[in-house]
Amino acid sequence: MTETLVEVQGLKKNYWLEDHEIEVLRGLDLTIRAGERVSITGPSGSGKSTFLHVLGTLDQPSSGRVLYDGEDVFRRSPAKIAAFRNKTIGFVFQFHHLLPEFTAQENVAMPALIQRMSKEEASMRAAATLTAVGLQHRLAHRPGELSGGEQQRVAIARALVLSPRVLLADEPTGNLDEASAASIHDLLDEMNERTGLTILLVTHSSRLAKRMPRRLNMVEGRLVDVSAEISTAA
Amino acid sequence: MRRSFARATGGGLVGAAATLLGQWGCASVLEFLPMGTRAQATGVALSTMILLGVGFVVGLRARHRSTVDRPRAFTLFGLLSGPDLEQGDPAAGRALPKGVIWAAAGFLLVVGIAGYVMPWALGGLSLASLGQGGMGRAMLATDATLFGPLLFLTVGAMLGLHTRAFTVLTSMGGLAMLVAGSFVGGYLARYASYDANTIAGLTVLGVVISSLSTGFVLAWIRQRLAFVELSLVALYAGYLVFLAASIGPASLLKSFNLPEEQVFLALAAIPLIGVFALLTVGSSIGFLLHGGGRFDPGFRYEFSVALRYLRAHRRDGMVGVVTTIAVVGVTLGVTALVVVLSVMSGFEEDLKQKILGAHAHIVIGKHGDDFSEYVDVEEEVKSLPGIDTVAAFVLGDAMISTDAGLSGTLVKGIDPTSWGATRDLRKAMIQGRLEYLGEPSEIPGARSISAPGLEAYGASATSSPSAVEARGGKASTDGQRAADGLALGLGVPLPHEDKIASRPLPGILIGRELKKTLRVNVGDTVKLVSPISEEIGPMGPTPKLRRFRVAGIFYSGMYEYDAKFTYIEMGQAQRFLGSRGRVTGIELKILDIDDTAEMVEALKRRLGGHPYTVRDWREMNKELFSALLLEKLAMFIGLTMIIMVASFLIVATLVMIVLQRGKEIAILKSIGASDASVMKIFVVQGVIVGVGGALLGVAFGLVLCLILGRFVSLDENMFYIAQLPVVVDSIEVAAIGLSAVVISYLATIYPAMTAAQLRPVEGLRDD
Ligand SMILES: Nc1ncnc2c1ncn2[C@@H]1O[C@H](COP(=O)(O)OP(=O)(O)OP(=O)(O)O)[C@@H](O)[C@H]1O
Ligand SMILES: [Mg+2]
Repeated sequence: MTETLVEVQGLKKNYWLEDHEIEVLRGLDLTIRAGERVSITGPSGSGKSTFLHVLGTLDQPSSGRVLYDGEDVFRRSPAKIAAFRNKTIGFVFQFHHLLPEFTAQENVAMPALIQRMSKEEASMRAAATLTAVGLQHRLAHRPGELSGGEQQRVAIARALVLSPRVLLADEPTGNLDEASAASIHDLLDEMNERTGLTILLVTHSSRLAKRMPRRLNMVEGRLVDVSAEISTAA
Repeated sequence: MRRSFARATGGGLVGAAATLLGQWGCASVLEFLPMGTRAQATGVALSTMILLGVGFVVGLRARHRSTVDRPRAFTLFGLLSGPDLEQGDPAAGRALPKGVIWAAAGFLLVVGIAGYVMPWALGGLSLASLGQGGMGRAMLATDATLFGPLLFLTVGAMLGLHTRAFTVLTSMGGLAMLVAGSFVGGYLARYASYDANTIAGLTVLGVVISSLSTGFVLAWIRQRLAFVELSLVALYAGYLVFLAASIGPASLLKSFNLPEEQVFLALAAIPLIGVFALLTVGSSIGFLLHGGGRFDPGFRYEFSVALRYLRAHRRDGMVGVVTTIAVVGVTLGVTALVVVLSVMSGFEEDLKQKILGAHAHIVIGKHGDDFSEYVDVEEEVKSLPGIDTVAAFVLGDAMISTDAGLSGTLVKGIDPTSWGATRDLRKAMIQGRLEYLGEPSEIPGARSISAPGLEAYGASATSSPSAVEARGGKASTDGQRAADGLALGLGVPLPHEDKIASRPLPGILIGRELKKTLRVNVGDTVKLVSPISEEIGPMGPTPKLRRFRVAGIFYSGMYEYDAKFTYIEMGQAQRFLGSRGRVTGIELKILDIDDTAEMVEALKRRLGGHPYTVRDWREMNKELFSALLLEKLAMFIGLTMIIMVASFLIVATLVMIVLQRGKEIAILKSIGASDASVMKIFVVQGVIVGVGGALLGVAFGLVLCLILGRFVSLDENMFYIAQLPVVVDSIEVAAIGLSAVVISYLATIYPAMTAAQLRPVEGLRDD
């Protein structure tokens, strides 16, 4: 329960814009244990999404290392990294990012299909996961036929369908009403308790951040642990 | 992402332009150097160094610029190098000793420099002194030097990009595999068959298979498209062939079994375009199957995604239109190819049938002019299994004339009692009878006794009105007038006239066309004039003249044949052509025409080679058939262009889709789709277009062939055939369909690969 799952060492990320470099992440260190629930807050443009992308191997660090179970993921072959994304990581994006031509069920089944699971099993899993996020009556809807909140729930279902070890969620409930948001976070908490899912949640809402036992704040490309701070302020 | 795409494409174009400019510059500098001097060699060495340097700097710069934060996927060098430079390359941890790197690089360089400098340095001397290859080899040498700069620029760039040994080593392994595979293929081919065409076909098949498998293995090992290795392998493979062809022993060229004039074309095109295309096909298949890090032949979800993309675009604008045009283009190209090649096959088959019907399949000849032991040889040959008919013959040139016309002819003496010599000819008879050759007295209108001169006039007058009409006309040539004069001779037989006047004139068979020219009928008299003379007259050798009576008319369906050939009895021919007791050769027909090559070998063995010669029908009609083949090849290449153009539309469609779907590609990757899997999606789309077009095209083509073959009739006098001949060769049709699919598949590789190399975060930031 307490073994180290993710270890970030001296993570830097720069972007090139024309001729000058922008430093977004400036030497980040972080250790996350399996089963932890962590929130990350911070001003807009401080690099939260960038950090999550690097953690999820969607982007490469300029320098520094990201270790999962003690192994540097970026030293693996592209094929292994793809398989790692598929099995180990669930991603929920700031903007839901669903495939518009596919129904909710097909969207959620996609990670399973990529894994070459049979179509029947993938559909069954997808239906079950969509039921868990309260969308059992929207299986055959395309993203364009769903409300914003429903789309986000489909995205969450897709992230969870293969029972990943880590969920990286970038403001998953940013555009939901409070009740829906709360129900989704209840779901995440339940998953955490039931399966030991490790959760990293980026959010602007301090109320949601407070639900997390460990709270981090992104300031100028570095993470500051504010767990104590906020709990005393509350 | 679009901006970076534009910038990268621009960069790629500038790079390509610079390459071409450098090449052109080098070529034009070399023009100024005097041929075959030391200065020239120095110039070559210098330009080599410069090119290597330029390439190296370009490569290093590309490497420097392609830090992970810069999109590299769309640049020329990005495409060439694949994800090799990124962290996560499986080879990254396995650096090999520096010595090995340089040894490998050195080897490649030495081969390259040798190939580049040698044709020049040796060119002036060796090409002239060898003299065997002629222009073809000189052109090859020139081409090798133009080809050199590109090679060195590329090698330099790659060394700059990859100081990593694994790349160079795998390239060398690939090159070795390709060359060894091709050689083994060619070697085995020579054991498999005697037929030159079969050997050439099998040799090419060997090259095809080794190219495909080389590409496949490279991609399998590297788990990426291995473009660097492929380029190196193709460049060097092409270069080695150039090298071998331009300075190697002339026999090397022969081992490819290509006619001289095809050598240049084949050598220039096949290794470069063909081998590279095949390597790419092999490598992309290897990547698609193993690029995900494990063997994964499935493409179920990829197929459904591809279908959705194609269907979605049918409704919206440009992509739909271009896709439709691409399908139509492939369809058109395939239809045209099926129809045109089938009609060409039809004419070829018709020709082949006529040749095989009218002529021997195999002819045994003898060096020198003394083939008198032909009866023994006939007996010797008859006992071989697979032989159908055997017949000795005498053949010679002569002039044939009547009052109405004159023509050159090939006089062939045959034994009219021999079943073998007469079987096919008998079928072709349309008037008269073949047997009259042996029994000239039976010819209708023949008189038994007459002074030759009178007899001739009498016979003509009774049986041929046309000859009577023509009598008033002028004799057509001086030669004939002279002949007539001699023949008339006041009724007195001339020394070289037929001496036994009491005998009936011997018979002759002529073809339908010759009959028209000479305006004769069965029973009419014709004169044969032979250039060979036994007697010396007062004015030197006089041509020998003999009279024959038309015993029959044949119609083989081949114009040349019906206009040129005449048949007389063997003994008559031997006397007339001055070869008493001797024959020109022995004609054979065999039971199964497909066994020709084997039969020729068997005959050669039985007869023990020299002085006997054994030639088959293909060899005797070599020019004709190789002209037909070349024509067909040219047609194939020309019409394939239509498919090529259509395939560019496939590229265009896919590039559009890739750009529009950047975000979705990123999403798929973020949920675990591998590069190979993303590539599959776009390959499938292009292949759907290609397969659809090919199927439609084959269907249309076959229907058209059916219609053409049934309902199009030709002017028989013009084409010598009543119906448009259409022969649908299923192997040809399959090859056409397959080429269309392969071309479409090739077209997908670039866009599919750019899609596969998109980094997920680029697509996700696009909002
Ligand atoms: N591809 C890129 N090229 C250049 N700059 C980039 C790129 N991607 C992100 N940035 C910059 O990096 C910084 C951090 O962006 P990021 O999206 O991580 O912020 P964020 O903390 O998630 O903000 P928000 O709360 O608004 O989502 C921003 O200033 C952004 O402009
Ligand atoms: Mg963000």
